[in-house]
Amino acid sequence: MGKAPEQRTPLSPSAFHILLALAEGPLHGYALMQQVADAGVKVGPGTIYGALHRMQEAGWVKPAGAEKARGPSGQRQRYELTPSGRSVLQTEARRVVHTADLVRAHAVLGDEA
Amino acid sequence: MRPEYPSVFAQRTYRRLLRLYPRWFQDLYARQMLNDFVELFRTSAASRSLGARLKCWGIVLRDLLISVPRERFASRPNPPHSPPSRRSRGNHMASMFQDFRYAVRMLRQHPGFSFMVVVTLALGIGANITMFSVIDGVLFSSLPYDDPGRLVTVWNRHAATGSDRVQISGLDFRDYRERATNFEDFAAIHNSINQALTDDGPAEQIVLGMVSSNFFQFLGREPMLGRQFTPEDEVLITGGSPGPAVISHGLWSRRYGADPGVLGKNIYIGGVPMQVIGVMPADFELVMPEEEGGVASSVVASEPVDIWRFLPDRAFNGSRSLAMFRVLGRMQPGVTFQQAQQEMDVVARQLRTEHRIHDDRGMQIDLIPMHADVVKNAKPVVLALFGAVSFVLLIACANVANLILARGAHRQREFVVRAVLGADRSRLVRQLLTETAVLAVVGTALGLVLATVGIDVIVALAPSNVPMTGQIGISGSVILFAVGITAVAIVLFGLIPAARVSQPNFRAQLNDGRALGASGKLQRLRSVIVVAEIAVSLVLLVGGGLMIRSFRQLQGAQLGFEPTAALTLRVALPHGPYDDETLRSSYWNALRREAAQLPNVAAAGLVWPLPFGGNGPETAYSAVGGSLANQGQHVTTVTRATPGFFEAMDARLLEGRTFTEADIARDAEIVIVDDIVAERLFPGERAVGRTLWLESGDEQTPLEIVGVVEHIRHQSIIGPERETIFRPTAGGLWMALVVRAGQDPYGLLSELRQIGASLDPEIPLFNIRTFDEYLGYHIAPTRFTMTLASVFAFVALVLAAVGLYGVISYSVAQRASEIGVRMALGAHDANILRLVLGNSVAMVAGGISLGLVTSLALTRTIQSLLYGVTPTDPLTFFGVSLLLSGVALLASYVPARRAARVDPMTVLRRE
Repeated sequence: MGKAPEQRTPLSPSAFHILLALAEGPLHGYALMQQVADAGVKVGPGTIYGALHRMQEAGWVKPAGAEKARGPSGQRQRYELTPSGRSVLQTEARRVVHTADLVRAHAVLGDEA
Repeated sequence: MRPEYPSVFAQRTYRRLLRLYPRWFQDLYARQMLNDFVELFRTSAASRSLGARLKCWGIVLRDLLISVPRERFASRPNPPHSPPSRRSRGNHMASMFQDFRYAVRMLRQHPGFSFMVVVTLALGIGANITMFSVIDGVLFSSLPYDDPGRLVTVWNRHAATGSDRVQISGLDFRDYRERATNFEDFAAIHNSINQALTDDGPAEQIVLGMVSSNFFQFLGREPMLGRQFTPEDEVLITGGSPGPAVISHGLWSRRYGADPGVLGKNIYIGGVPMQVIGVMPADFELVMPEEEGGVASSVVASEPVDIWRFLPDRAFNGSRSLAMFRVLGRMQPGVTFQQAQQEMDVVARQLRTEHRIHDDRGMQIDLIPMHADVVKNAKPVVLALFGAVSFVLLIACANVANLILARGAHRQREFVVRAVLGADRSRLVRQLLTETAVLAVVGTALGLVLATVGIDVIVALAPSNVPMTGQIGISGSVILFAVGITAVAIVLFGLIPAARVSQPNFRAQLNDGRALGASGKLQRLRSVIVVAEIAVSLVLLVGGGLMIRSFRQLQGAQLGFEPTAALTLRVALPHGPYDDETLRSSYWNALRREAAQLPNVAAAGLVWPLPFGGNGPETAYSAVGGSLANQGQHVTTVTRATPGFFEAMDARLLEGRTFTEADIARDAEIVIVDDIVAERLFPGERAVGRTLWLESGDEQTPLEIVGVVEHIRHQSIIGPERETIFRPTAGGLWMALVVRAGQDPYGLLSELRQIGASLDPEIPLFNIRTFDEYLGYHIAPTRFTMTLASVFAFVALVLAAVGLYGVISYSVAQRASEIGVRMALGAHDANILRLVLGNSVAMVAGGISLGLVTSLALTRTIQSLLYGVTPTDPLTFFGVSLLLSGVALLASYVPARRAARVDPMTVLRRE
């Protein structure tokens, strides 16, 4: 199907931060969770895997092999961005930047921004 | 390293909590999530402080709270990396629930649209539920008697005269009981009559039902209090005891305050002493079919019976020419209707050979299943109205489909997003269906509310020829019908648009940013729907128009008398003192003479039976005396009248004179006949001065014709009538008084009552009404059908106009730029108007042609409801076509006008 990236935006905050986190390279679920949490969006495992699942359906994200781990499962599935996922992220990033520009232009935050 | 951190208990708890997710989600992610859970606790809650642990649990629980519902109710038709089987059902349910929530949200966001749809549907569905309840109650509920399937009505038919549904004589009734072995029994019912009830309370007019003594047993119904008639009662009343009376639940509650002590009470009915022996239950009623003459003769019988008395044996001893009983038969179990009819054919043949009167008349016995006979006259009315109301629902659904199609066009962006985000076509169809289903369910609920009101209105409006109105109500089958109708409505107005909106080319259209409605196909579909709507509306309008024409024909009918300003009332003299003929005559003479003396009264006279008040017993007449087997013999009923009657009726005297006081005084052997009799016996000749032979009992009496009047209608307002022969009378036990008032007939009421009271205070005057009101009763069934048919037709007209308006407005909006370009290139308002209207003219013309053809095919089915107008009445067809064209073109003129006023620059700039 034809994918016009702009039609998927704006993304939800958690989706945006997941894509953002994956932009630097493949990550497993827990690492993703941590990075997203560090960005200020508190998410749990259910939210992360649900979002990852939908992103796989949409073709933005794909599994990127497993990594050995301690826990009960013994290994961890890693995920990485697809080109399509990257384009979605770029579009959204442009929108965010544009929004930030607007915020600055309107001096909403005074000198803070 | 502490392998047991977080605790085994915590891990187990989380594992259990993971079961809240859908199966497929667990299969894919549960292990990883458990891993992450452990990791979360290890890193974040390494300090093992309670606060840190609680914080971790907080994150986990909040996560569950958000993500479990999302995954549960999210659609996952094809989860990657896993076969979809086994789990698809749960997902389906979940996605249905999501569809539902989404639908409710959408509908709440568009209150105008939702309101329109729900109200349209509620009207259509409510009207349908109402009419279905009527059908269910009237046509399908069983008679309130034991094993009613075995009950038949028994009528005589006279092949020689062509009259059917003739009542049965007492002697014949006895013969049926003795001879017909296929029958358990027969019961006889005499026309119920009004009588005065006197006991220790004030006198009251009641309806007396007279039945054979086996009546209650025959119907299989017992009194709720006391007992029914027994064979011993026959012996008792011959011995002079008061006659046993069974009273209705209505009278018992109304007059005796539901006091069980009423049993054994002595009462007088029409002066005859009687004793209350039983009270019938509330749901017992005598449901009798109408006899010949339809509604006309049902006036008396249609009122519910208050008191039942039985007809003593001697009541069945009269002549075989006194056909005065309605007879019911109960077939033996296992006997088929055909077997029963065959046996009665044999009985009829026997009676014809044994009795000359039957032979002369070519008497046949007709059986009709009682239920079919009872609903016979109501059936075409109810079915026609149900047909009409179904059409209204069709139009309502068409309008809703149009609304949804139009809105589908506006929702293109929403669908595009959903489609691109992975919603497949079936999902979109389902979403649309869910939305329409929600609307349909709300519409049905509202429709049910409307129906409860509608049923009350219909029961109140229903004329008395709609039987068993007591059975009408919202029952289980009605609810079932409502559910069914909703399902049909969902398919009708939901599936078509849903299928259209999800066409493959849909996405392509959306991607180039074009409006969905611009699709020629979709616009064409909407036009087709409108054409169908116009066609169906036309059918309804034709039906309504024909009913209105019938009603006007009935109102303007030539009756042979002047109904306006004629007051009628009835008097029933009790047996006992008034069995004396001189006392009786002096009462009647005084009554009519004193009434005629009143100021503002032109004339007053007595008659029995009153026109439209039922038929008397049948009598044969002929122009030639001698043998009864005479070829020139006819049969009709004889009306008794006093001087003043023809004047009070304002009847037209064609020849000779009317009755005089001298005629009564000398008991003259004379008759007045109507023009039908005169023409039949003496075609083209003067009838006055000729002799008419009238059969009474087994002999014939020669009577001199002294006058010919124009036929006075007495059976129906329009339609075939039986001829009338008038004989002079001083007055029998029952008479009706007709008073011709100058104006304000009701102003005479108190004076007439005074006259009545001064003559005999014990005797009430009752059924006081003008002839106009009296006829209103006979017009009522047509008025009922006409009112409902017109309401349905009007609703259809409005809905069709709204539909047309919607389609034209929409197409104009779609073509705004085209119109703008045309105008910029020099097209005038008129050109644009013509362009847009041309479109509607085509649709209207198509719809009307289709509607006319359909009407021609359908109106024949309502022929029996029409009076004085053919089912293909050209005036009606032409008139409603014109009306519909006018309304339809007006509905499209408004948007067309708007299009023509468009400022081309505005439109083009918008592009």
